[in-house]
Amino acid sequence: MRPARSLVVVLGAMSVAAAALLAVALIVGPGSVDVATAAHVLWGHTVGNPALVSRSMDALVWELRLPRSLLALMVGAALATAGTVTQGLFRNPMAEPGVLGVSAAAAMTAVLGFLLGLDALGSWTTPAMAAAGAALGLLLLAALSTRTLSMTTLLLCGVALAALCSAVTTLMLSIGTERWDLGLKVIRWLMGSFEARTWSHLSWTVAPVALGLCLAWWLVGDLDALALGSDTARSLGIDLGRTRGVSLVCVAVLVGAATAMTGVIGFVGLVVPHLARLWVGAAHARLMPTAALGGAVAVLAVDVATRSTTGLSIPPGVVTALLGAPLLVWMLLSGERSE
Amino acid sequence: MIRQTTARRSRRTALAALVALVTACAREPVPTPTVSGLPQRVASQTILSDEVLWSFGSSVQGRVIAVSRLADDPAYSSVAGQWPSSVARAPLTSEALLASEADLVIVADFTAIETRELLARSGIPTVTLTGFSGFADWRHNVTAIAEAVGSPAAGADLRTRFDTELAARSAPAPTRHSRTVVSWAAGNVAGSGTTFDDVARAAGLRNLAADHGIAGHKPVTIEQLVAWDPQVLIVPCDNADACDTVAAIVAAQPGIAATAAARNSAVFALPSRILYSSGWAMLDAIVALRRSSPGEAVAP
Repeated sequence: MRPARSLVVVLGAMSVAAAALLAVALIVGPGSVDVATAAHVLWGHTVGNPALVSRSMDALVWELRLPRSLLALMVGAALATAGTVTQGLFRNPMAEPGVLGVSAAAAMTAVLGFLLGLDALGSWTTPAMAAAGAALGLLLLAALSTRTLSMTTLLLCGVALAALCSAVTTLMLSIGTERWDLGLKVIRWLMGSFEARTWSHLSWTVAPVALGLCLAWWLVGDLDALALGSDTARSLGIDLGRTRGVSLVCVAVLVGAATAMTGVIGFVGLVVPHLARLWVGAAHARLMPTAALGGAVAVLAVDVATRSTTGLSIPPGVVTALLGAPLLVWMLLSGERSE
Repeated sequence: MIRQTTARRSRRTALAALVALVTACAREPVPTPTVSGLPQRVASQTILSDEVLWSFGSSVQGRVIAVSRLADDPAYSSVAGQWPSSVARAPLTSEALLASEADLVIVADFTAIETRELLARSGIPTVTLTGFSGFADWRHNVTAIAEAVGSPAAGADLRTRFDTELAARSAPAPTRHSRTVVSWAAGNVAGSGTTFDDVARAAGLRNLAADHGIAGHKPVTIEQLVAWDPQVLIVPCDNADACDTVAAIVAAQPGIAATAAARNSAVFALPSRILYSSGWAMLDAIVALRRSSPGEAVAP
């Protein structure tokens, strides 16, 4: 087995990549914003004089691109961290945050909001509905987890919850099938998007993602012990019930926050932890920050790439799946060959 | 050598059989039966035909047995609540259409192909409306419906009334100095070849999306919208009472607040029924857009 790369080197490289992508994100897109203009906008807001550039340039850079890009970093970190915790909890490299059904529950209540026309009340309503759905999913999972000690059972309950929520979502769509504008809104949201995400969305995301990341860091030792098996972990003094409960809350908060803000973006939570493991090894103290930063860079890169290479609004979830699926297969086959 | 020849012959035989099978299974295009006689049981499956049939008056209304499920939805239909309860609100299922024993069904080209083919195979005369973009399409659809129900005079009369109203409500044609407008709904803009394009020109406004080469309805990012910087921005609202609130929310949205439209209080929300209409309400949209221009005194 290859020795794990230096954590500092890996995190340093990814931080540089994130900063570079952020700079690029501010200048790509419509409106002919160059580096100097973007710098003026940032400087203007830093010194409290945003009138240094035109109103539209300021809007493009400060009100639209910067918060959108920061949100992409945050969502990527949240999804990748949630994936790492999920894979550690279930000791299954194929586990990803969506299996717990939280994102499906969030999508279900978001669609309900569209069906009831609540989205017309303001940009906060859809994230609020999605967050409520994520919370509902978490409560159901928490209730189920107290009734079973088996991880397999819990995993299957999550799968059932996801299926149930997807069915309800489809039912709601079928009820409103003639309303073409409803279908357009729902499909666009379900595909995931960073379009028109602003400082408000970012501010709503900071607290839950920070909480989730802190919980994930707290779980590092428990997950390492769990990797040795349940009995070994128990003998090392790990409270498996508490670990499972905290893990569920962590994953639900991270996935719920990400889905509430941007819709469903898949594959990040599945693939990025695998990549991180290749670079820094399986110890969670190294894996967790690497996956978080790796997810942040990956999602921002996808957003920048789609905005800069095409005028179409390609959903980020589509790109992460198109890239992630073959990459995952390649990693798995490479891993088998090396073994 | 003999084995290779035999194998090659078997492959050729299999390929020929496959081609024959595919050819046999290929469906012949099902011809749409032509409408003959005066239909007495008309089922309307589009909002536009709901409205047009109502406009034709009692002689036609009395022969309508079913209207679309959105006929009573004020967010979409201009005849909401007008069709009597004795007229069924038909669900868009093939079974329900067959069970209604309609002798004329009016559908659209976006109606499920399976439904349209079933109607044709069942021998039920069907009128398929194509094109719901603008005044020309409306005139074409009115003609098709009028001929199908055996009331061409009613169709001609409706078209004449429409054209008279259109002339009365229209502003002078836009020039390059005219105010620019964008219709923005669920992230989509309406470019050239859309109803909104016709309506905007009739209102004397320049459709900025069409000016930028957009044809039809296309998704446009909010950044692009900000870069275009329209002088008037039109968005939809579901409930006429909430339009002012919706407009205010949109105008305050980060990015949009920087546009000339928002800065000059020229963000307007129109009821969906008017903004999305491909029927008579297009004329109401013209009036609404003209009212968005300062100094415009337009009679309702």
